[in-house]
Amino acid sequence: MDTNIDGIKGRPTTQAAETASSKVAVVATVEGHQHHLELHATPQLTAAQFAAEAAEKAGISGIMEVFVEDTDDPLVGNQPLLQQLPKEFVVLHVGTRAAIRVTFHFNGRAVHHEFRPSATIRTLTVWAVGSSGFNLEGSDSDYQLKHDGIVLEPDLHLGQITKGHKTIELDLVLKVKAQG
Amino acid sequence: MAPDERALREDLASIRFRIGASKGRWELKGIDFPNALFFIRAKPLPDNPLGFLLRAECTGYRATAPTSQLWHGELDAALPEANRPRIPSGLMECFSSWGNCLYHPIDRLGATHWPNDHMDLRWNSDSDIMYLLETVYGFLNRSDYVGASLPAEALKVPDRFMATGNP
Repeated sequence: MDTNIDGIKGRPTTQAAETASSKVAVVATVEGHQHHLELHATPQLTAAQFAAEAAEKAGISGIMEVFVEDTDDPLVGNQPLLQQLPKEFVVLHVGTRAAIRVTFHFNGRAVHHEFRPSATIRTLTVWAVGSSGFNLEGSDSDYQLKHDGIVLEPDLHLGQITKGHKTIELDLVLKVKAQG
Repeated sequence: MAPDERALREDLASIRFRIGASKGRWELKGIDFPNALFFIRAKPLPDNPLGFLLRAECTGYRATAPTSQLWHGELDAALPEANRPRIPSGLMECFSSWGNCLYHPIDRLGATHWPNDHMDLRWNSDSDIMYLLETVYGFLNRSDYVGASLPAEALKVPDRFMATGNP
């Protein structure tokens, strides 16, 4: 279930409408938190302030930074969040900066690589299947990643499942084709 | 509004659905409950369709799995076999004409072909419409998908799905 943390519901009053019209809905995940959050950012809200609000809403502590999904570098903390975002819709990740060492297992083999917590499971799958990983036939759509036997959704961020740990082991498996 | 329609509309307004839509994997074309019509993007191949329409019949959603078929929009009927996605050996197995459904355990009707197998692929109490859409997107982006002969009119959205009240 998604959580609209600070949504403005219903038809706003005039004063609320002025406030509402200057806020932009931003979708983010938070380290160790299972679900996406939707928060509202004003043009003045800095990335650091956004990170603090998101962490507080998710009930986690620590110094967090804001990453655009599948990027390596955090947004500049003391600069307005919205000015640093691309025009197209993006999902943000709020978490710690440190890279996560991922060990992939496939058919008795193992490879490892470091990823940022903002990396999506889809990105990890592409890497694992590709020439730097196991160099497998087919495309990433033919495979899926599992953690503790559970299939990981491709839009999840790595930081959501590592829960603050800096290492994780994942199993790469072929998707089953149900045959008659 | 009946509980199953309300649950479907909630999930279609959810962040997870919107993320998949924003990344171009799927698009809601309309709802004529219990039916919902989606566009699912296929692996880009020269001179091949960008994707296909999927009609999902969602009676009893979320407790009950939808049953779905690729759809011909102008005919407002199941996509003819000649227009369905292909692999090198012929028709992609999950889109076979075994029944009026997806030939796959995720489907309410298709699952009856495997009463004791592939339990991990079946619809369960945690499943939602994104599970169905992600699964079909996976089919259409498999490495062995080689395209389809799909006329442009097959992607036309039938009038009954153009009604107001869609999320």
